[in-house]
Amino acid sequence: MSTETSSLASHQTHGMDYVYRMATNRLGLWLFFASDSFMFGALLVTRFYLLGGRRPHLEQVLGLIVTSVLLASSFFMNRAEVQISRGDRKGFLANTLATMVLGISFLIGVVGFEWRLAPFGPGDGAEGAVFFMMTGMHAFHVLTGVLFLAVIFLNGLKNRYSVERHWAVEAAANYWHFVDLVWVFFYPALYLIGTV
Amino acid sequence: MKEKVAELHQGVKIIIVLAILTGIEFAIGVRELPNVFLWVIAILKAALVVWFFMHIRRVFNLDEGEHR
Repeated sequence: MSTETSSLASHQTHGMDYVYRMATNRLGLWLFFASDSFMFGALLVTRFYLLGGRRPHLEQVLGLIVTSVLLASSFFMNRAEVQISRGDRKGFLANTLATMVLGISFLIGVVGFEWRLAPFGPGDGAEGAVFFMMTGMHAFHVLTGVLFLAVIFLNGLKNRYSVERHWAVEAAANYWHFVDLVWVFFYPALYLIGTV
Repeated sequence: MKEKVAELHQGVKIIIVLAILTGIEFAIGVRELPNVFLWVIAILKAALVVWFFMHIRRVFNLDEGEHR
């Protein structure tokens, strides 16, 4: 009886530890988002300081396509997180894979096409500097997000997440949505606000 | 389980709203209408992402989420 009581107490203590760790993990992740936001915010301010009411001459349709692709990826990432929290491993893996494919498609659209189609280079004045710095820094975050997703995908294949414990998935999902959030402001700032 | 299915349906609704808002901002941008509309839409989209996809409320409420 005393062994059972002690085992239950140990289980409860372990559970409390996990809840405390989750709380600090979440707070830490959001503090990271806050610090990263300052960097992206600085880039946004730079764009308006240097270009003012002008906007770079960019492919509007391509901008809309890459934006839609990134939004769709956030949708699949949200599904992946919900699927793992209801114990559907296959659904989690399929949706994570879809998110990764869309993330890579976004990178191809921006770095592979938009960078090549832009009528200026990184050294061609303020327009080039602003455009390549903003898209480059954002693309780097997308790339690291895809790597993060690859890690949780491989761990998912090894069945390392459960309904109760999948903090890494939550963190990867939140990071991915943060990258999407940044583009919510970068897209209008680069493509839509101002005149050509 | 019902809660999870509802969450999946909510995700569909949110992405539809985000897609519509993106379409509207594209239309505003190419017509060069006042920038204030673009800022309002961007803030609205950001709020939807932060609240429904990033679950910001989980930071302040330990009971939120599935890790128990």
